[in-house]
Amino acid sequence: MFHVASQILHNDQDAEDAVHDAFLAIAEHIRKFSRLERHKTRAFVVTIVENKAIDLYRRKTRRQEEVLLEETAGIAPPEGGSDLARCILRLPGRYREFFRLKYQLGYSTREVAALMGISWPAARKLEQRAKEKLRTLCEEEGIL
Amino acid sequence: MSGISEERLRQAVCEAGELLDASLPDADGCSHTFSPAFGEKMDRLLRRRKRLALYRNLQRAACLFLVFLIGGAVLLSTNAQARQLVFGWVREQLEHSQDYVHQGPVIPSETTKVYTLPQPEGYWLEEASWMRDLGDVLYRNDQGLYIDFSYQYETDKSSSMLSIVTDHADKISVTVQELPADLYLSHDSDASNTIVWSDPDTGALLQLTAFLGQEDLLALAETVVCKEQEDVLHHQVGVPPEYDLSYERQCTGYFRQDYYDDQRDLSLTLCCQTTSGIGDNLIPPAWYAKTAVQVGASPALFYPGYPDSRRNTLIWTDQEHQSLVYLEGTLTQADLIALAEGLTPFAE
Repeated sequence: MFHVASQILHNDQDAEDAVHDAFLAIAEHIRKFSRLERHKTRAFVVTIVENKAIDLYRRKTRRQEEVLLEETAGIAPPEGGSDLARCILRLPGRYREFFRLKYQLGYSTREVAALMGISWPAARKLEQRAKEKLRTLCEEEGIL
Repeated sequence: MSGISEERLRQAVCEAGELLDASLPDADGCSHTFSPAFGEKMDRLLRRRKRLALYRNLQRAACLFLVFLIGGAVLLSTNAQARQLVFGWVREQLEHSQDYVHQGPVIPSETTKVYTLPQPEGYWLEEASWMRDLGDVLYRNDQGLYIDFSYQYETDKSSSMLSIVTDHADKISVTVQELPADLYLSHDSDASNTIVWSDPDTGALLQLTAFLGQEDLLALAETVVCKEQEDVLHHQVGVPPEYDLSYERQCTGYFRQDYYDDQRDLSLTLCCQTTSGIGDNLIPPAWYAKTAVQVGASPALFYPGYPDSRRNTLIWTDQEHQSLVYLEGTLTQADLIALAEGLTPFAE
């Protein structure tokens, strides 16, 4: 968890704060967490701590624009994977988090909104923007 | 998303997620030593979680004592306002939100009632979920706008709260079905609005969110209906009656049901998904050990110890309905197959 947070925040103290915030979020949504299959819990924890790190990054930079928050890069994407998977890995962290929580971990949009600490309308808008961004990346890659 | 099916997107997201997680170092590869300040914060978090459970138990005990001390049984039966204070939901105003938390004795999970919102004209059902202590339904129209209705309880088996972000909305007092309610009217006329109210007769907290103006939203809230649990229709799939249904979720081309047999401490999860369905990711990782078996005349795959060591999973395709069926439970391979052969997932 610390490794993920420090990749985004580049500061040990901030990274520890993000890890603590992630534990808070997991505790608050323990029922959603406990419903997961075991092999998905790592994905859940990584996604939540990335989400909290980006939140903290935004607060630290004192910028309020929603676009900046959504466009904040998450952890550095690894190499490899299919064309579409590589495009997904290139997405900004927030968009990737949404996709992981919904499509990999199977939460409903409403549950994703609660986990990401946003309202349901904001989650729907986030989904729309994430898909638009993914489409743009796919067109650049020649997938679409 | 145009050009990419939901199934392809889901597979790619899973692939990307697994690559991402695999690229992270193991715990042995991380050399960071957490600061004492972090340790103190984590201790406070743990103490707070323990204290929260203790606080709720003490609060319940204190409320019950108060009720009996002042002859509360008589008071509650004759004074509706006093009942709401004791059994009801309380709103707490925070800096950026209004939080609804429950105060007073909780109700037994098996006594909860169900609330339904009839399908509004011009909308189709996108997703619905049901448990003993909460329910949720999402409708959508061709313009992509949704209507979301949900209700929840504080019971002896669960606790919940509701938080409404109020940064860009005004709170207005209204009534729904002659009950006091809070309407959150957005400053943006194109954004959704929300109504929250509680029913003191049942203990439920209800929420309705839609891209509708005040008048239409209130009119929609008036159509909410309260039903007994037995009156709610579920997918009848042939699971033996000793298993109690505890959770159901359905969306386009997909439904999931969770069951529990408390006599034998056995649990089951059944999922059915059509080829175009949008639901959970049902297929275990390709590397997971599996055995070819038969469910009736259908070839199937048995995954021992998946998703965890106490459970086994059986997956097969219903050729007639072109659907994937997933059955998981704390049963042996033989018992799981026998149960699967007795299911009729698509009979209505």
